[in-house]
Amino acid sequence: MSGKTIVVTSGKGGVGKTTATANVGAALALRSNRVAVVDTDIGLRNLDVVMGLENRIVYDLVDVVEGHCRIEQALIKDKHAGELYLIAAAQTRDKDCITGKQLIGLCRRLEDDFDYVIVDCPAGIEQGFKNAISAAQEALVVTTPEVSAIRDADRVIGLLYASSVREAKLIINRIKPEMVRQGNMMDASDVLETLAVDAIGLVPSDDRVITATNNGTPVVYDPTSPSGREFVRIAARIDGDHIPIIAPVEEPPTSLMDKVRNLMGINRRTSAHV
Amino acid sequence: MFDRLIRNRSRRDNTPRQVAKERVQSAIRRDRMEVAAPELSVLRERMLYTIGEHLSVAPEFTEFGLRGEGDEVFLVSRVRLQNHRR
Repeated sequence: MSGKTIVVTSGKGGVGKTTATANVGAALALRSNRVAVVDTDIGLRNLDVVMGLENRIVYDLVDVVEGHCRIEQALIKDKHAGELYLIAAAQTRDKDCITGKQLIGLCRRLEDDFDYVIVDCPAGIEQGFKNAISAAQEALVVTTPEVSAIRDADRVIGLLYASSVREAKLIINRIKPEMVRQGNMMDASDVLETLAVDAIGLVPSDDRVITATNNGTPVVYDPTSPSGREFVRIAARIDGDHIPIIAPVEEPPTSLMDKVRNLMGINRRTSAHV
Repeated sequence: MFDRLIRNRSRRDNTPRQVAKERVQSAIRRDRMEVAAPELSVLRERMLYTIGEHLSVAPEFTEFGLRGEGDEVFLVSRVRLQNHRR
């Protein structure tokens, strides 16, 4: 088996990078792929919590690259998907304790056993970011439709093009169709017009992500979740399926009061479906 | 209610969405020019070297830089040639 390594990055923190990593990884595994997700956010690990695996960590990424354990010992099997594994970041070390060369070596070895190696990149563009992108052939850049996130995504895309990454695709996260309609938020076309990269997914803002994270279960396992369904489609696109990318739309109003609120522009509902 | 509808309609041309789009595009233009600056000195030397293989140039009178015009960024170069008279 010769898999590929995909780095999930963003520049700005807090845009949903770790959530995207967990969900894309889980959705790829649901398609019968063998998937390893690697948290490289050393000192600030969170991927284990999002996946609900925080109590199963014995060895971490630093243990592997420093030779304190074998890769197999650090791979934590996911509770839900059959062939999904996590290598957690070390929590008590700093980002400089591993090198890009070590991470490249690890990913090449994982590629022998897995179809996909998904690397969760730390925020920022310092050494941790450079390490994470050095091992990847492809990148998913996560942004939200906000000025600061898009600006940082542009910087990251420039750095990716100057690196060994062959292809970068954009995930626009937390789109609120109602705010777009009201003229209060940029839509996907505004973002794509600004950034020199193609989209691979447009994820609506969805409260179920918070519930899923609280439960330690990626939202792709919730079939009623609009964001979960979009992450499933993103995984399918990564896997080679040709699925059209469609902007999220608002949930249709269900009551007369909703319709009146919509008409007056004071509808407070924020969820959307694709 | 009608006031609100009229207000919604009149602010469409200058919505937060449009303002955000213009701001981020402007910020990115500036960022791209700043990021490119360290590369420019290398590029300048290479260009002068290449031109110097064909023409006699006066490097001290060379202007070389990025200039933003609207949505576009231009690489602007002005090289004075030595021993050339019109």
